[in-house]
Amino acid sequence: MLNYMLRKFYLLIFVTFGVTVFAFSLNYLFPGDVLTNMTGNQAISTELHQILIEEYRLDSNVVFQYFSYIERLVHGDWGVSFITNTSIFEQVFTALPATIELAMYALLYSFIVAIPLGILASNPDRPWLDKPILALSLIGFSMPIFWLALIMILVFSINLGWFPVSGRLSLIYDIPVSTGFILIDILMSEVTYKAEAMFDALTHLIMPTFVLAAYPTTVLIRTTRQSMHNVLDTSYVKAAKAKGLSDFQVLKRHALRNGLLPVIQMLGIHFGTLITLAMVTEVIFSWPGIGLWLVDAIHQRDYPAIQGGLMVLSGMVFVATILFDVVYMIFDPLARRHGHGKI
Amino acid sequence: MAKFRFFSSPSNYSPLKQLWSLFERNHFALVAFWIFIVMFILSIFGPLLAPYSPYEQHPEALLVPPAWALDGQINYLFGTDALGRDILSRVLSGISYSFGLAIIAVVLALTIGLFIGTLAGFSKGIRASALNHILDIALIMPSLLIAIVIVAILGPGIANTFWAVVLAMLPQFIHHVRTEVADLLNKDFVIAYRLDGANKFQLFKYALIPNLVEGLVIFGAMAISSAILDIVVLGFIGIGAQTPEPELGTMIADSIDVFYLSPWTVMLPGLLLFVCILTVNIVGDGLRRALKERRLQ
Repeated sequence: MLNYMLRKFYLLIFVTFGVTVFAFSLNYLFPGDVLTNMTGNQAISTELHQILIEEYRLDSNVVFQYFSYIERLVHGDWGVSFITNTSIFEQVFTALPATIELAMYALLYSFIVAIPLGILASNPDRPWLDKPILALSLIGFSMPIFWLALIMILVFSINLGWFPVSGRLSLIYDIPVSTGFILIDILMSEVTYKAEAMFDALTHLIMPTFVLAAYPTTVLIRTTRQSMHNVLDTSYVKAAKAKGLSDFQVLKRHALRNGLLPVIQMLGIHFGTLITLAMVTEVIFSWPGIGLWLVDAIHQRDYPAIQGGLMVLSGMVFVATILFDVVYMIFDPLARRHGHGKI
Repeated sequence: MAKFRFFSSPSNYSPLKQLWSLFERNHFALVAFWIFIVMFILSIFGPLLAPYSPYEQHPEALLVPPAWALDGQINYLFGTDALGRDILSRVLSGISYSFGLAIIAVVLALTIGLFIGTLAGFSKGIRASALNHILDIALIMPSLLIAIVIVAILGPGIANTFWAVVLAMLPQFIHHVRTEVADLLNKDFVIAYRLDGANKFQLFKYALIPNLVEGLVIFGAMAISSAILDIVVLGFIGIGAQTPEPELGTMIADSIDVFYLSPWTVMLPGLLLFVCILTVNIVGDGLRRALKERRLQ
């Protein structure tokens, strides 16, 4: 186990190195002056130019430039945005919690919906449930996420007027930002309209969460169904049934524990897709997360911002995938045997 | 379900024929396959069938509802958008952008992936393990995120989107081909063929390709749906195909402003998109299931 953890740790270092090298090379890949791309300062005077070249080590070779870049990354000096002239580090980390929050709720929702459905679909006593659930999951899988979002907006916001169209919280509520997670912020705040604000935040959350959850839900239904099929076929489940355990007991004691293992693995594999879809969802619902921020940056050719955003996003996906993998290994001792250097 | 058979005769049909006959039994998949063929033909000849140019604006007919609505006009079958452009013509050209381009992208990525993957499969030792690590890392990144990264570097536009989608799918294909080739190279018939003195090219042509094709077709079919999604999502968030172009995602994004007044401007392209992706998924699913059954036989 320790050996395994160490291996994952090496991989993490390797990945961090790769991501930073990639982000660093973006300075050269983007059009325009390298120094402008690095600092985000578009009008560099001649004196400042000389000072910056020395500070950023642009006079020495690429390796030194890279190390000076890393040093700046660690100190939180990520340059400033072309558009707003504010620190990118701050912008990224104010936008990031909103995305993580949305992705978390969507995952939670898809767990709650998908696992029972998957178990139902795998139940050999109710074969008529299998086909409709599978068809539903195939439809959910094929639905372009933005189209689903637009249909939901049309039905639930425009026609029925149940949920607001965009944003995280109505502007009339003024909640001080401490963690960046809106529900926690509201709980922690000391305002008189706490309950109303909470309700408002929840109504804002429902549609984006549902839209984002469509993809992970369908994937989870299929995974759960398949793995439950496999588990229910094993001899230990048959033995448990022969002993006279009820269906529920078999499920609880034997089948679920083994059947849900591939689900953890699947989560790791699809986490990146979830984050990408969260970006799209944010664009549709004007959810102030990192996806909306990054897409705006791409529209405005704000190169320092694109660089920072891509680095954080890809870094997050990598770290989360490795973490999910470690969790999977903790739960499944059998998998530890073949985990050589693989992610 | 074991069926009663009078004779236990082995099937003498070629593997592809067996696959097809198993695929045919799944009627959903067969219907989806025909729709897929129709879409494919439309993506080639669609622009020729279109009654108007997709860019042509009709100022006298703005936001005309589809022909089946009460105040619709028959000369604009799917209605018009806010600039008076005929939606049917735009959708017909849109299929060749979103659907046709995705197929070309997949075929291109498959071809490149086949060659790089085979070379990687032949390599051994430190080169193979270095490549493995890089591939494993590239595989974590979802293709849409890689495409966004590439478009962010290259700049928006349909051509850049195309290359971004090709490059984004490449790691999956290389990985798939590499593992298959590495597996095949250990098989006895390949070793026998090698001992007969076949060089690497002959090995590739006569031993590997026939065994790889089937898996690649199925993998490619699954990849088409994600390629379509990547292209339209990039178009929708405004960093793929740019505004006047009749790409389905871009069209939907363009019509959002009038979506509440005239839902058909969003619903019809979206419905078509949904049908495209659904058919591709059903066909891919059916092929995969057929292959699984054939291997069980």
